[in-house]
Amino acid sequence: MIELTDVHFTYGCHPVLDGISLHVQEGEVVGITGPNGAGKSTLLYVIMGLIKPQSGEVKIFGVPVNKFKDRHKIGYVSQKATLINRSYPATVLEVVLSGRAAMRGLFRFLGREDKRCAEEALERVNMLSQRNAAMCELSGGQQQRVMIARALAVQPRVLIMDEPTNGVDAANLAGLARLIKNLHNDGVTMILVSHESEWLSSFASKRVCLDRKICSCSCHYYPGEIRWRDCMNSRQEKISLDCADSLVRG
Amino acid sequence: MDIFQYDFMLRALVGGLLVGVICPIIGLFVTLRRMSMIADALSHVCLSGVAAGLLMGAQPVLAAAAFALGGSFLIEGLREKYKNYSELSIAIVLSAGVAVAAIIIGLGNGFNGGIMSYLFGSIVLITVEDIYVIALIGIPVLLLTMVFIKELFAITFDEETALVSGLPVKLINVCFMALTALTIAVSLRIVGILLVSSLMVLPVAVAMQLAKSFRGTLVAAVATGVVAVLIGLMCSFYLDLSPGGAIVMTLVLMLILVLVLTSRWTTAA
Repeated sequence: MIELTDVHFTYGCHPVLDGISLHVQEGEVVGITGPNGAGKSTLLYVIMGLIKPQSGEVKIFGVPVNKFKDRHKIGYVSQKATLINRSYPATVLEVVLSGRAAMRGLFRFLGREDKRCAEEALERVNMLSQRNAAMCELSGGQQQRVMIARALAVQPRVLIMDEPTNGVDAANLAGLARLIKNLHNDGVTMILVSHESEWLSSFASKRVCLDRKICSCSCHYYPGEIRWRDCMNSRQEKISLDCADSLVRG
Repeated sequence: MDIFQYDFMLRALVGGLLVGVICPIIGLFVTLRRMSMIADALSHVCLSGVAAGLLMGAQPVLAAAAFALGGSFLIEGLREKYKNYSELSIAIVLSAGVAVAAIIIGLGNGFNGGIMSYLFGSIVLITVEDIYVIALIGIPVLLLTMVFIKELFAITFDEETALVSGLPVKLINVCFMALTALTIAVSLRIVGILLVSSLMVLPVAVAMQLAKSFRGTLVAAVATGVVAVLIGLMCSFYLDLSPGGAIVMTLVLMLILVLVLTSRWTTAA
């Protein structure tokens, strides 16, 4: 579904991604963790085609990312989504509907079909009853659910979330994990970046530990069974699971 | 009412109502994108356009529209150049606009004070030609904004996600800058160059106190803009005030009233 081969990306003379190879298969929930500055968000930007790597290949659904046109197959929950727009005058339904703007196309207005899809997405995140509430009246956890609903409104095949725990208090983290598990059970492929490695471990079917290069990668499709996956190139070490905490600096 | 017996007043009302609708709609997006200063910068560029129009004998509003469009593209280009200091682009264009205007006004020996009617607006001097220009530019601006409203909402709310979803963010941003520039150009005859940004921002400030949905805020902002233009023009006619000053002071009083009422409602609740 998503394939990165030996991707290198450098900001100036500072290498951020150093030979990343990663395969994401349909139905997987990939949790990417690592210390600050490890290149987690940059990796997502490369996957989504927002930045172009200096070398390496990125394919989405078998198509090179620079030629990929079916953007509605990707749902994205931005790291900044809940941080910058708290006082934005908009209702929950208006925000979720905005996710379908690109899918509807230029010079066409949103209609009943869009509203139905938006309400279905809100139902999936248990926020339908709040559809007419103002965004500023919601808690951080509820706002994050709305952002996920906005991404789901286009019925994407892969959902990418950058630090979805931002602005979500500890009490709501478990609820967010339950929601992600439910989406996984519905067959949604997901890539999540979070510095909360333990939280990611509670539901991710593949965990990737990143620190400019991939330090470890593991998969477990069935409870109790853990199998290593040869998803790295020769420079990447295969070390034990849950290495993220030990990598966090200072 | 004797106000409707005068042709100049009818022209002022037609132009004023159009501007009263367009300015708050564009102003809502300008405010939500935290770009209020851009309206000020472009209105100062309009001053050089008006001065150039007066010097060369061209239609001043059309000349202002051309200069404002150029200024908007310059801001967009400079924003790319100074990505981390994007406000620098606004300051550069504002300074350049005032500098060019000062030189041209000097060359025209002040245009016998004619430039003053563009600084603060004038209802007496609005010509039929002005109304045609306002309608010719203003109506397409209004229609285009409504056509792009879902894209503008998505980009204003979260530009990064809009880009990932496949929206042509750069194209829409350039179009939006052009629409903002044209809105300022058509409004300056009514409210004046120095006060045009107020007609874009103040109705939005009032509306944001009254509504919590985007649609509600848009409707409330337009209603506030139209009411303020009508009251302001009436005051201008009966009290012989500058129309721009009367309209903006009406908006300021409406904002104070709304702030007092909403704080009382909040306290009571």
